[in-house]
Amino acid sequence: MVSQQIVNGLMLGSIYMLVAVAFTLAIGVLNFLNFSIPGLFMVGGMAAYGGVKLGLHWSLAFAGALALAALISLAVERLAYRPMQGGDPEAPLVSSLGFLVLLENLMLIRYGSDQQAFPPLLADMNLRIGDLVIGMAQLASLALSIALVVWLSWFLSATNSGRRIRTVAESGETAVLLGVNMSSLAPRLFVGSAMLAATAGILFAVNYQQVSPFMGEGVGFKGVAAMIVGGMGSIWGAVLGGLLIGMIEVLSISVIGANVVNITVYGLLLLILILRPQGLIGRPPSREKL
Amino acid sequence: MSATEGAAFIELENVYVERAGVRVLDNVSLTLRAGDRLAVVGANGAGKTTLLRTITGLQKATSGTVRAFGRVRRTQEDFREVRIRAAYLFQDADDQLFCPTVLEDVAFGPLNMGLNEQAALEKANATLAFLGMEHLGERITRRLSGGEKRLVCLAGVLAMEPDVLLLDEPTNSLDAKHVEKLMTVLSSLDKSMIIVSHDRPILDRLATRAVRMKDCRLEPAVLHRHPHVHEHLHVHVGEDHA
Repeated sequence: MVSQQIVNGLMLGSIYMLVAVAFTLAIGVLNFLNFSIPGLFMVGGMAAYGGVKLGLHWSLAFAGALALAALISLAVERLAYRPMQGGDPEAPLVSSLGFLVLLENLMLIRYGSDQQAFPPLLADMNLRIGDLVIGMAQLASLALSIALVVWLSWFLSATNSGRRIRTVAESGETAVLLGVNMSSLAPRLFVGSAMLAATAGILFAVNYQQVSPFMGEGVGFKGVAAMIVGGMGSIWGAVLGGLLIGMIEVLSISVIGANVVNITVYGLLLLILILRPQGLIGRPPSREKL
Repeated sequence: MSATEGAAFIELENVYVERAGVRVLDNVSLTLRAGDRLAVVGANGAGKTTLLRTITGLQKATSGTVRAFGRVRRTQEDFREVRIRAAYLFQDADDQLFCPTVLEDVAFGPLNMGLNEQAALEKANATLAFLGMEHLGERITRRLSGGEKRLVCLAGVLAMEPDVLLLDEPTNSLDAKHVEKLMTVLSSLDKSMIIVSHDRPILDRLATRAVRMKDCRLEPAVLHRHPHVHEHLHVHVGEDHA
């Protein structure tokens, strides 16, 4: 049923959307393609799994996972981003990639490489509209993802902190000359970005009921693709790109089959970028900033 | 004489800067004291803007010492205070204006200095009033003329109450009316300045001493004032001619 696939696509897309927005915050403001984000997505899911497995209430397990992701993001900022400022622009990219590998391998040592089953939280609660079945976990996840993005957009446009972030996005040099304290802003951006990625990881775990140390890689690629297709540096571009990729993926599995899903998804993305290199809502020639 | 008059605000000692292996400042030493208005002249590419960027820490010195307001400055954290006390007026006003309205733009610096919103807005209003621009407060920044934008930028940096103004081609692409307004304001300010400009009449009006950048090195220059007698050819059009 197409309507069911659309719901499923929106759900998956909302996870890609959060990861894409996390990447957008990093690259749109700090000009830093932070490859630890897929790792933080994985930490969200795996740490929540670990907490639940230890017998913690799910709310405590989720809070612990978010706190762990925040701490790791501060370490990434301090060790991978800050020391590389003023040097080769590719250096922090490589060092953040190092964090991804490190996080994956730490989880591998702790939990092994197999998929782990995440316990269902709202297993029997479904919303039925005709033949359409929407799981409450799905619905809650979708609502939370959209609420987070709407809140972030409001925060950036209506608060003084948001104005500082947008100023840095326009020009980091101008921002510091006007008194913006980058030493305090950059860690906050890293934490914000990590919260989005880890939340996406938790939502993924809750909805698909499986986690693994490498769960971040595929989603990370899709998140980067969503950011580029939507328009680099634009939050709403990341939202559009994420939802689009989720829909294409689910519909192509349904219509063509799971074996060719990546060919379909990335083929269509390639076509979009050929026709519109600046992304769907990016602005040529300079990219949109938040 | 005030307590701070004559104190060195900014001192560069044997500063070298290299970018991508190319030397862009070569053994530059400079002192800016309270009350100084230092003109920096020189050809395009001589290193004038790099000098201002080095003072504010946007450009890291390869070697040598940058001392500002009594302390040696090395890290970005060190330069945070320098950027507030030595405010940089950009060459292109559009680079400095981000907020929807003039008032918000002028209040942005004070907010970043830790003032609360109310205090920052009061500071911004007072600065605009000082410049005779309070009527522009609610205007959309992007819709101002080039001259108005430059004055709003100046209001933005003055609202941070700096000790030093770093002026990078302040009269660039301004019409005569706005040049005059800007010069009147700058002349009236009791602040030290470093003025990078090709506009000799402006330097004559503002500067108390001068240096010249040549081939990335700083050398002394002489300011001298003497009266000129000119013949002027005027073209009158419209009502002027009637």
